[in-house]
This record gives sequence, C-alpha cells and structure tokens, in this order.
Amino acid sequence: MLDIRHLTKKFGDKVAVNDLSLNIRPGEIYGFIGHNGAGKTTTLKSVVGILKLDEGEIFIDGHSVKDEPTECKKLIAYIPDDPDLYGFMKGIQFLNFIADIYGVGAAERAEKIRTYSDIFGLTGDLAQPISAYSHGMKQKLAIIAAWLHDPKLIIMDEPFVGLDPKASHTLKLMMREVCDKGGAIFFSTHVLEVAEKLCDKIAIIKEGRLIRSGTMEEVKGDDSLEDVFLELE
Amino acid sequence: MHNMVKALIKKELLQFLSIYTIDKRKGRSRSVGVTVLLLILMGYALVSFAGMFFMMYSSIAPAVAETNENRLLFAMAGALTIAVSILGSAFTTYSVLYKAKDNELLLSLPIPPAKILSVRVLTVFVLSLVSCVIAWTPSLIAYVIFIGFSPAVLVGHFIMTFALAAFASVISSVLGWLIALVTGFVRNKSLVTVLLSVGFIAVYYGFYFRMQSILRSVIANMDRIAEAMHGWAWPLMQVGRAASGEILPLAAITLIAAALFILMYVVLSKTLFGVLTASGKVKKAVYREKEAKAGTAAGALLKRELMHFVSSPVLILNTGFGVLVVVVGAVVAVIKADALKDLLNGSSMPFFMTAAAGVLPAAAVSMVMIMDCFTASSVSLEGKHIWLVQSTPVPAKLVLRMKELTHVLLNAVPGAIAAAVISYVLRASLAEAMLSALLAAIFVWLNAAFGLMMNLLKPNLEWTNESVPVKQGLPVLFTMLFGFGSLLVLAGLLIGLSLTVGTIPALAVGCAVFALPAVLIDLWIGSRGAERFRHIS
Repeated sequence: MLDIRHLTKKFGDKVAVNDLSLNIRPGEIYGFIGHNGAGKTTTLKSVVGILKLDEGEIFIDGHSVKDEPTECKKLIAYIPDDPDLYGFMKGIQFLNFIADIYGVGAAERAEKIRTYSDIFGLTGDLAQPISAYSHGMKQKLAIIAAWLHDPKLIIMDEPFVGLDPKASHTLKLMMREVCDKGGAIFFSTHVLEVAEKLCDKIAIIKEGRLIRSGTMEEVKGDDSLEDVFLELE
Repeated sequence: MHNMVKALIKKELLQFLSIYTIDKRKGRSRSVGVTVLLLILMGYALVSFAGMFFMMYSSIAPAVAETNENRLLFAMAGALTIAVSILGSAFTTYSVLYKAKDNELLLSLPIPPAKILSVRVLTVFVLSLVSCVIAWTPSLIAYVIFIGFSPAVLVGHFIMTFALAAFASVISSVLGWLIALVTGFVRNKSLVTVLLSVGFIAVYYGFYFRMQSILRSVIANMDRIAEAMHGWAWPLMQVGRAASGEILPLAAITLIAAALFILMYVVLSKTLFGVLTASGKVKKAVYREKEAKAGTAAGALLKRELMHFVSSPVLILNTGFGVLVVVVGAVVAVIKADALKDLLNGSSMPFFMTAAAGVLPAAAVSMVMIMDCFTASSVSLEGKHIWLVQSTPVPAKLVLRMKELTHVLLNAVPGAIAAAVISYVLRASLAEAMLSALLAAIFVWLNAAFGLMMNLLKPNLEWTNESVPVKQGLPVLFTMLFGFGSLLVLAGLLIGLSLTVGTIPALAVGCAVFALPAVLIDLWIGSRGAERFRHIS
C-alpha cells in the first residue's frame, strides 16, 4: 500500500530524514514513533506530497508520489498534528467542500456525515462556524472529513492529541475497521501505550534515520515499548 | 499595589511602542535606527495633521476677529476637536477596552480588576488627549497670531485641552461600548465591521473633499454662527468662553468633564468585566440536515474563495474597495451626466473634444481597479490551512485558476458594467462601450494574473493576522506598482492612438496589448506557478 524507498529530505544543511525505507501492507496499522524533531512529520508530509523529496521515491498503491501526485492523493487522507481548518466555514460547509473535492456523491456523503457526526457527537455543532470550535472539535471534524471518501491509506500525525477518551476509543475502532476492509493506517504518536496496543507494526525514527521497524514482537521482544524506546534515546 | 499599576502602565507603553520596536512580519526587533526613523515619521504625520488644523483656523480667525466675538474661534475649534477625537479614537477605545488580547491573562493574575481598568481608562484618556492636542492646540496659535494674546487665554486653553480630552474619552467609551454590544450580539460581525468602516471612510472623505467649501461657508456666515452660539449651540459658546479664560465657565466645564469621566469609570467598573467575560448571547445555530448536493472540485474551490472574501472585513475593505468606488462612480455618472458631458465639451484640448468619451471610461475604471489586489495575497492567505489543498487530489493549477477567477468575478464584472454605463452616459457608440467594458475586464485580468504570480514568487504563510499579507505584503506592493505602470501605458496608448487612428482601434489595440501578457503569465501560473504552489510551506 505504501512503499517508501530511500527517502531523504533536507532543510538547508539540516538532514531531516535520511535514507528512510518503509513498507506498509494492506490491513496494517503502522505506528511511527520518535522524539520531537526526529523527522516523523517530515516523513508524513513527504508521503502526502506536501514536501518535495530530495532523494528517494514514495509509491502509494503502485503510484509514484513524485510523478502522479493527484492519483496518489485520491487514495489517501491526511490529518496533520494541529488541523487548521477554514474558520470562515461552518462545519457542514467544510465537510461538503471536502466531499466535493474528492467527488463523493450526494447520498454517500449525506450518510457518512450523519453516521460519523453522530458517532463523535458533533452533529449539533455542524451549523456552527469552525472558528468557534475547540481543538478537539476541529480534530473530530478533520477525522470525519478524512473518512468521507473511503481512503485506502490514512496518514495521521498525532491523531489522539486533543481527543476525549470516548472519541479516542471511537477513532481506534474506525482505524481497525479501515484495515479490516483492506486499507492501511500510518500514524505518528508519542503515546507509546496506544502504539503498543493498537499497531500491527511499528517504526522508530531517530535524528532522521529509521533505527527499528517491524512487528511489535520484532521491535520490543519481551520488553515494553517504553523500555525499548528509552534505551534507544 | 503602586508597583502593580506602574508595571501595568509599563506594559501598555511597551505594547504601544512595539509598533515601532518590533517587526511583526519578520518576528524580530527593529534596529534602533529604524525605530527612531519610524518615530520621526509618526511625529511628522502628527505635526502635519496639526498643521492642517492650523491652516483651517487661520482662515477662519480673521473673520472671527471682525465679529468682535473672539471666543467663537475656540467654540468652533472645540466642536471640531471633540468630533475629530471621537472619530479618531472610538475604534481604538473599543480595542483598548474590549478587545485587548491580554484581558484574560490579566484577569487570571492577582491584580485587582479596578487597577486593570484604571490603566485601560488612562490609555483611553491619553489617546483622546493626543487627538485633542492635534486638533485643539493649533486654534491657540491661530488666536495668538490673528486675534491677540493674554495669559488668561493661555491658561484657559491649556485647561480646556484636558477637559475636552475627558469629554472625548467619555463619548468614545460610550461608542466603544455600543460597538462591543453590537458586535457581541450580531451573527454577521464582518458585515457590521465593513459597514462601520465604509461609513467612517465616507464621513472622512466627505469632510476632506468639502473642507474648502465648508470653510468658505463658515466665513461667509459668521454672523449666523455667532447667533446660533448664543442660541441653541450655547454649550459650545461656553467652551469658547472657558478657553478664553473666563473663570466661571472654565470651572463649570472642568468640573462637568471630571464628573462625567469619574461616572464613566464607575459605570465601566460595574460593566466592563461582565462584557469581557461574557460569551455573547448569539444563539447557537441549530443544524438541520438538508438534502445533500454534490458539486465539482472547481465549484468547491471557487465557493471557498468567495466565502473567505465575504467573511473577512480586511479582505473586503482592502481588496474590494475599488468595486464600491466604480459602482458609486457609475451611479454618480448617471446622475451627473449633463455636468460630466459639459466638463468634456468645455475643454479645448483635442483629446477631450474628440476622443475622451470613447476611451475615458475604460481608463477611469482601470485606474480605480488598481486598488484591488485580491490575488496578490491569496496564496499567503492560505496560511496554515495550505495543507488542505496540498494534500487533497485537486491539481494546484485548478486552485490557482479559482483564485484568479474570484478576482476577475469580483472586479472585472462590475468594472466592465461600470465602463459600459459611463460610456453610455458620455454618448459613446455601442462598439466603444463594448470595447471599453472588455478593456476594463482585461486590465483587471492582467492585474489578477500578475498579483498571483507575485504571491507565488513571494509567499508568506507565517502570519497571525490576515492584515499582514493583505496590507503589508511585498507582492501587494509590487502588484500596485505594476498596476500604476500598466495604467501609464494604457493612458499613453489610448490618448496616442485615439487621436491618430480613432477610438475603436485604440480600444481594440489596448485589449490586445494587455491580453497578451495576461495569457503569458497565466501559462506560467499553470506550469511553474502550480509546481511552486504544490510544495510551498
């Protein structure tokens, strides 16, 4: 589903991501952990096509992010760490905007908006301007928007930050559901317990380099993920 | 406690000086040299304003002297000073009292609210005092030069400066409270802001353009003004008497001003923090599911641009003001059609006699449309939202085309209609009217394309307030300069060709000359520009 080959990304002299290779298969929830500034967000943004790759290649379901960016973007959904949405739109206007961009039909979008808004308890706020939303509400709206077009691959940067426990639980269920249907999830997190319980595979990045990756057992063995992570620091 | 007030005053001062000491666009301190230069420029602007008032009082003072009612000068100056102070500080008072960004921070600190309020009210008073000094002090200089000097006048005038500032503070605070009340309760805050701002600009320019005729009228009707001052406008006469040093009115006005100021403080202390901490009583909009309609990506992007435009007073006032001017201009042209035709017919210049009616409308509309640089800040305005269009499967070229189309729809359509209407009023031929409309539209298109290109080359996504890219952005400056240059080319071309080969060929050539670079820039936007946009961060 996602194939990152020798990705290198520099900002001036600073190498943010150095020769990173990673492969995510359909059905996998892939956790991406590392300390602040390790290169997680840069990697995710490169996958999404926001950042230009300096070296390497990224393929999504066989399509090159470099050469077929629009085709790749049709297959994915992205939620950044601090989803800044259009404050001048109402919640429902934003969801319709995203649905129009992805070409989601009227009946399909109506059903999905109804379902996911109810699940996240956001239905009553859809007529409110986004500028009046709290951080958590914006996060929920971004999640609903991401799920509107049935993406094959969902990229999320710290998706649980700002969510209440119920919404976090709902999101975890939704993530599993996507994977059960043959999709894949690639997300970064600082919450190691979440990564340990939720992920099928995990990758640890340090100073731009991938230092460990694989199934949970391969990465941590008999230790806890926290112990492994702290040892690598 | 004393130190607390001192700390608050110091904070207010630092906040005020930050305009000069900190470059908010770059997020760093300005050098001492730049700070001093900016302070000198500000001082120069204030002295220039004061000079304008001095010129006004100087032209009235001799007429006042002839009436033997010298106090009239101060009575009129008092009225003007109050008006100017209110006009100049009502919005600032609103910002200082009700919109200060640190209200919540200060309220969470162990500072008695009364102390916070005292410093806020002091700031309002100082702001009013500055306005008063600019508008009021020149009246004393004019008085001394044209009427005479006495120590009583000096003392009376000096005390009245503070009394007038107190009056202005009270009225500004009431207006500020009204603005807070209105904006706190209405749903469409941006519409209120736009209407208030346009009203303010209309009053300001209305007064500015009619100042000479107002002055002539004042001088010619000095007797009637004196009569009014002794009649219904007697409070103003008391201001004049007080400023002339008459003890009784001076004491009475000073006491009234002080009492009103204290009353304002008491009322604010009872209500201000209630207003500050209130969440507003705007009813929460209830969501009712409607039948969903699917649209195209292009339509969604165009709608997004239009929604952003109408929701932002900064955008409307800075990138849509030209539209208002051309619409008003077209309406005025229709109403004053005969005067306009007489003006052209009365000229002895060959251009005005033969060709102006055919080519002037397009040039006039183009001149106004230079003001609107919507596209020049449209990329920067994506700001932190840019990930949304960058991560979705919408070609960057389409996003950019919709930005340009928004500019063209907002400006070219009313511009073209205005050009056609003015052409019709000036009795231009149908072909001239149509070509004028087309030329105005093409001129707008070129400016839209150029502005977008500039913003793609020089984007600034790191802003905290929309006014930074809209008002202070380099792309906007370059686009305006380009607009002025284009206008010069347009004027030269239209004048030259209309006198030699006729108005219709002149307009047609104008269309071709301006369409060509617009097409070339659009090609760049669709290729290299789109590539840049995909990875701007």
